[in-house]
Amino acid sequence: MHPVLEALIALNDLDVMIQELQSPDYREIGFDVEDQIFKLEKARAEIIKKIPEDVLKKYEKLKKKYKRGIAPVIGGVCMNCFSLLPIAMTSEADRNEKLSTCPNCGVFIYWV
Amino acid sequence: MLEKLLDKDRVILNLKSKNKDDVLRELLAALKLPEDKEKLVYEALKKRESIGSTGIGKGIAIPHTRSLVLDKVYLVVGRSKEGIDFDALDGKPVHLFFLLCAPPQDPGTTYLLTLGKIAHVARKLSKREDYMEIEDPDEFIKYLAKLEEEE
Repeated sequence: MHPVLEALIALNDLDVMIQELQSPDYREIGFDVEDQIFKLEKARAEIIKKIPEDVLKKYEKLKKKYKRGIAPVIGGVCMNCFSLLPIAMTSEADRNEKLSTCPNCGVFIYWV
Repeated sequence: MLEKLLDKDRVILNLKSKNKDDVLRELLAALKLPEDKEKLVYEALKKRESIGSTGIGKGIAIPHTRSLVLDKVYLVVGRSKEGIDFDALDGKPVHLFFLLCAPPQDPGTTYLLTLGKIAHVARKLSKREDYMEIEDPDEFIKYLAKLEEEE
């Protein structure tokens, strides 16, 4: 897997986690994580170091727009905008070995 | 709900691990993910544990995370008769683990619902000890399903 793609996935996982920890539904279940989110912010700062500035800027911009900067591709479909990706893209054997974006919505994509 | 997510390959009744990191890896191995995916899910689980143990006390832990590399919700149950130090809230060793992993967005929010169900079943389990005697994975799944249904 491309190292920047790997870092973007880790960053997204962390962002989802931070968001979810703050949701009332999660807190209702009974996990006590009050005041601990700063630890995840620290981990986030470490991951960011592995991502080139222009890629990170794009990720943050996309996150603002779509609530996510990277989306999985399942069955050839981008799970952010649900558009079908061109066959030429989906049939590439090394598709997770490079950094690609959805031609429709622009989010970074990862083939699950 | 738990019964649907489990099969006998995802019920480990004799965990071999002796510490927190190893048990997370042992549980995760039951998902049979490719190495690069497994690494990313493991990292996410570790980060979640870093902000507070999911060892909720009374010998039960519910390690959980979401990860972009997953295509569906996965549940693995593991039991250690000896118990494993998991930095549980009550400081006691953990005997029963529920590992729950899901993609960032899952249809019908199965993940949070399942997490809630597991917490519910865990509260019931914390008052019992008979689950330590079951030796057949299918029987263990039925036992959990029965507890889940009970009011």
